[in-house]
This record gives sequence, C-alpha cells and structure tokens, in this order.
Amino acid sequence: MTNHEYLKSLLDNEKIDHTVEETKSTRKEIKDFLINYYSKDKNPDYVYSGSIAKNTAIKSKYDIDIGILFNNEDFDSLQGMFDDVKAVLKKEYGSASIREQNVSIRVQLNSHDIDIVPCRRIDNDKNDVFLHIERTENTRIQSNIHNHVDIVKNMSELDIIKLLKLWKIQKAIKFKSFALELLVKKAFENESKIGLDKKFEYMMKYIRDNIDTISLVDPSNSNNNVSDSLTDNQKNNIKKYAKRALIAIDNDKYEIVFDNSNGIYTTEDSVTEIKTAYESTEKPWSN
Amino acid sequence: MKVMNKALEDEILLIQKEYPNFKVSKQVDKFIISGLLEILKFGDYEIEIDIPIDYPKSHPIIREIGEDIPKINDRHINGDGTCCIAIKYRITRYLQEDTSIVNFIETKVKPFFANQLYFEATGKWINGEYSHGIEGIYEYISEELQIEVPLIKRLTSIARKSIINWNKTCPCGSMKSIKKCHKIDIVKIKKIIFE
Repeated sequence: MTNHEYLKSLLDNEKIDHTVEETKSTRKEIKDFLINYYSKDKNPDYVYSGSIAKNTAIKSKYDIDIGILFNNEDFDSLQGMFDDVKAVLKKEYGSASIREQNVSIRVQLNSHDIDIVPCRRIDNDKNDVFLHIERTENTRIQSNIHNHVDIVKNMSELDIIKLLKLWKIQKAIKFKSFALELLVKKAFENESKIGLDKKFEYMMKYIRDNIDTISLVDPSNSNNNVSDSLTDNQKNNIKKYAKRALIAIDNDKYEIVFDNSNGIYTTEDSVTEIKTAYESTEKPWSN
Repeated sequence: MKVMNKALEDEILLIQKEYPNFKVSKQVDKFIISGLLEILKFGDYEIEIDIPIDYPKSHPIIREIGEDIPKINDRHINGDGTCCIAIKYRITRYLQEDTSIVNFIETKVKPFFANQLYFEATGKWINGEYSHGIEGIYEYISEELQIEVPLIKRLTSIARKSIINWNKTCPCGSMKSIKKCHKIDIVKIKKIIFE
C-alpha cells in the first residue's frame, strides 16, 4: 500500500456513517422547538454550522451546530440575548441537559450534543453578527457564520483538514478547529501538491516552520486574529508533533503519525548517535 | 520584594540569545524559561525551567510539560512533572564550579532528555541509573568513595549524628579509630546526604 493509499484508507474509515442521521434528527428537533418558540415575536433566522455543515466532519469527532440570528433590535443587550436562549433551552430540556460554553449553549439530547450559537445581526440585511462571549474580559466578537461555512466547505483541501483533525485527536493536540482550517487555507493559498501524502507532509512542514509567527485573520472580521488566542504552549505542542510526524514520514512510518502514541520514532542510527553525543550523561535518580 | 541580581539578569539575556525560541517570563522570586528543547534532530520535549532568584544557591527546577514522559519514578519524573536530572549533591557541586545557565542546560538538562529519548527507543538508560531513594544515594557514594555499599550504610549511621566520637573504633573492621580510618569518608557522606 502506498502512503497515499494508506491516508486514503484512514479517510475512508473516518467517513461519516448513518449514525449522523440520528444527530441531524436531534438537531432538527431542537431547531423546530426554537422556531416555534421565537416565531411569536422575534422570528430569527437559522444557519447550520460546525464540521457537518463545513464538510470537514470525521467519524471520530464531529460537531453539529445551529446559529440563531436575531435582528439587532430583538434584545437590549448581547448578554440578554444569550441568557434568554439559555433560559428557553433550560426550561424545555432541563438544567442538567444544558451547558453554557464560550459563545454557545450546548444541549445534550438523545445522547447527542448540539451547540446553539445565539447571534445578533449588526445590519438586519446582512449576515455579519455579534456573538456574546461568556467568562472573558471581551464580551463580544464579530463574526459571520454563513461566510465561515462557505469558505471552508468550498476549500479544495478538505481531506487535509480531516487528516489533521484525526492527527489532532490521536495526539491529543489542543488546537481550535477554526484555527486549523485557516492554517490549511493559508498554507495552500499559493501551493499545490499531488497526493494526500505529499500534501500532508507539506502541511507538517508548514506548521513546523510557521506556527510560531503565523497570523490567522478571521475572513469575516479583520480585527479578529485567531492566532492571538493560541497560547505559546499550544503552538509549541503542535510544532513538536509536526516535527515528530516529519521524522516518522521520512522513515516511511505513517502509522506512527496517526496512532495514539507520543509520535516519537527513533532509528538504530539515531539511537547510536544519541548515545555517542551524550555518552557522559548523568545517571538519573529519583527520590 | 526580593531584588534580582544583575548577574542573573545577564544570564537570562544569554539564554534568550542562545535559545531564541525559548520564552522567558519574570516573576517576583524567579525566572521561568519555557519552550521546545531539541535533542539533536531526533525529537523535542516541551520544558519549563524555574531559575530562582538566589541561583545558584537554589537549584533550577526543570519540568516536562508536554506530557510525553510518564510521571513515574522509573522515568525519573515526579508526579508534578519536575525532573530528577541528577543527585542533588552533584548539581550543587557542578554549580559551585560553573554558574552559566546555558552550560547547565547543555550539560545537564539536554542530556537528561536525550537519555529519555534513548530509553524510549531501547528500554535502557545510556549509563544505567541509580536506584530510587536512599539506595541510589548509597550507590553514588559507593562509586565516589570506592567503598562497598554495606560499609557506606554503616558509615552513614555515624555521619547522621550531630556529635561524632572520632575516637570510637571504625565500623570497617580495621580496629583503628574512626579518626585514623574513615573519618574523611564520613565527612564526605555527611556533606552529600545531610547538608
């Protein structure tokens, strides 16, 4: 099996199956409830977001979100909007099923997690919105869910995004999916490679060489530099795993890239080199 | 508030020059250096090093923060991620002769992590390891003083006393007084274990 075929087989194994239909059905149930509730006076629009909407979902992890777009006069404040949606969902599904998150409210229903993102239109004729942010100093952020979904789902490198997501899960790398999507978009802006393996290797090199200084600006909000929210630890962590992946790839060991080990691969030669270079190292001891 | 000494601040500047990818943050009582430590070209570990303001009197504390190495005694990593890079006395002696933090990273910290990489690949340490706890200390002293461990233990029981009767018979079986026999070794053991 070639490396390209191996990566293709990983993607095939991660294809979304019929179980997503149950999740979609739960999403519809919640959406129908919200439509019914808010149609009386506010009549917001709804947009599906998350990896299912963006075509980046993998079986190991996918999210299925609903953005609810209120007009800008529907609430006195963004906090008021967020609290109202939260209260409505709590009343319908019970407090135990509701969890407040950064910009969304998670509903656990029928063993599925659906995130509801309350949004307030900036201009009622357009899809630019403000989201309320909980538990931070900045209380709002500007976004455009429609734009985000369209940009990602129309990217030519969706397979690379999916492979990166799988890699991220296997290595427990903490890195926001949106940041990853923007990273792939930027990496392939002026680059074209043939073959999943060549593309993936290129992406690992791109992360290794650029993650420390890269600027990932939200296409819907030029004031939002997504890379600013990445901590040094997160950048170091993903860079470390990218470097390890490249060593494994150099030695034709793709399986190490995608297993749940720490990704370290050493050859006999490298072991010999380490021993020679550090032949006078201290004997370790612990208490 | 404790004042950072100039020599330490200069050392920190050297670190930033030598390891441009490391981040340095200053706190009231220490500097924290963090980043990816590259071992030749074979692997990186995410580490954090606390340099206390009374360095080198107090030793640097090294932590592996990438969660790559199990936090167990057998890997010489404590539960909180702090690394046992060497026997404390050896670090003290090293720092008495060389206070350069860059040199400390190159000759003590990097080799520790290189050893971890070697262990990952082979299941062994480059030069072996000391046993855990006090047994390991006895092994070290045995190597240093060229005395068998059982005698080290008997000499240690004398060294732990606050007042030593040097005229007593040496426990080595020579029938000489301690003063004329293993006094120097007991003094060394006292320094290594009890100071």
